[in-house]
Amino acid sequence: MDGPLSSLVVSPDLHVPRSRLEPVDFTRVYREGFPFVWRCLRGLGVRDTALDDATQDVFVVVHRRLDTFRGDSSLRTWLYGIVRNVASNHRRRSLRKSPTDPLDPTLPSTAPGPLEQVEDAEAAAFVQDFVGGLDDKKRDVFVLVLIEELSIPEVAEMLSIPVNTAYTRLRSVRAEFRAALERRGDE
Amino acid sequence: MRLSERDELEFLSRARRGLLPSDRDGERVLAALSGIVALPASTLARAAPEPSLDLHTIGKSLARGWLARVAIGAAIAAAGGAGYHFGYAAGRADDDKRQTRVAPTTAASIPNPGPSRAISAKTGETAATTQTSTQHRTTVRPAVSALPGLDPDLAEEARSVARIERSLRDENPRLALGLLDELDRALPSGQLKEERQAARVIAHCQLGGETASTFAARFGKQNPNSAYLSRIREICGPTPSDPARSPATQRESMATDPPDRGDY
Repeated sequence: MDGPLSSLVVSPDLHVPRSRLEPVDFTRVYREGFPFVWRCLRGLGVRDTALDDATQDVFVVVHRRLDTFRGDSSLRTWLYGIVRNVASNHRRRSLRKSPTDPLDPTLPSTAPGPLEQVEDAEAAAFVQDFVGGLDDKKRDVFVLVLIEELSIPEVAEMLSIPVNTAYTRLRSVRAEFRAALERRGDE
Repeated sequence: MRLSERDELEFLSRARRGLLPSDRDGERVLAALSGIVALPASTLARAAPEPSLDLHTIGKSLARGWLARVAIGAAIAAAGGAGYHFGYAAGRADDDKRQTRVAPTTAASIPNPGPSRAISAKTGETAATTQTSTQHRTTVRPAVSALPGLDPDLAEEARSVARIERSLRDENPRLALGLLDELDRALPSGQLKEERQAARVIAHCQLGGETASTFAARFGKQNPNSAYLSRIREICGPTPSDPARSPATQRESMATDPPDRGDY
């Protein structure tokens, strides 16, 4: 994704200082940021049935505020701030929903296809359930470090927390995740 | 049930793949978005989402041919691909050397899984994907044993260098230097030494410190054929060892260079 979101991709023109680049435009943000946004939203607990809406919400905000992005932080950091707010709103909304809502049609247990596809989807669903039980602080670290595979210094900067705090949260959430995974194996 | 770290990382790797969108997801959301906000025509024309730097999707991108300069190419090279490091390695003089330091024969031992292949740095797993949709993806993953020559340290180092590169592109040299320090502690004798040095020089130049030009000059002397020199000159300005500078200027600058300690 990266890239600006930065994830991402190293293209020749990105090697020169940003001041020499054309301004970041919506096309570029969408093109390069969509996978990052999508996966972070899922990682942050947005149900698959609400994913399209949540992703739209993010990019509506991006579209509205892009001209206020001044490059003080990386574009990905800026984008993650929006993703986090949107995910939080959607989680609250889903809590208010009736428990009789139809089952998520993308539940992996019924998904046809090769075994590995099902395994990937099941792992994704397990992670989504797991992060749903975390507090916001641990959820951020889990998603950014273990799902998006960002480095601790990078995540600490994105979350405006000390590096040691990020390490502490990572150790804690990873222990919880390992325990949950082991319980899953026992079932 | 006791899980190994490898099991845990393998599970996370699967989850990462399972959480990715497909091109179809991107197109669908974009179509819906176009009904909400006024999008430039260019967005609708060429806004097919690009993949993230997830190593799984980097292989996919490489297969499309537009990511030839991605830093993680070093790890891809381990699977037999034409790897390039740190963005600017096209045409570098020591390409052959770099490709021989990984196991080139592994490529022949890997069954072609389709249009793409990527390597998980932590697990050594390879993966190939024709589509990334949760619903429509077809995934083929050769066994880990199919990559006996893969060096996980090199893959991890390449991944870190890619992060450093991103921070430099974001003009965040302090973060880049922090990541470099972290990498130096984790892998003090890595294989991408030149890339690390170049990144450190660029970071110093972005910071604008007085020693930046000295670092750039030292890098130029130690790596006169480096593919990164042009980028360093672009960002840091001409180095004292530049042929374009007059001999007198070069002599003057060389005389004022600090002792060559090889560090930056």
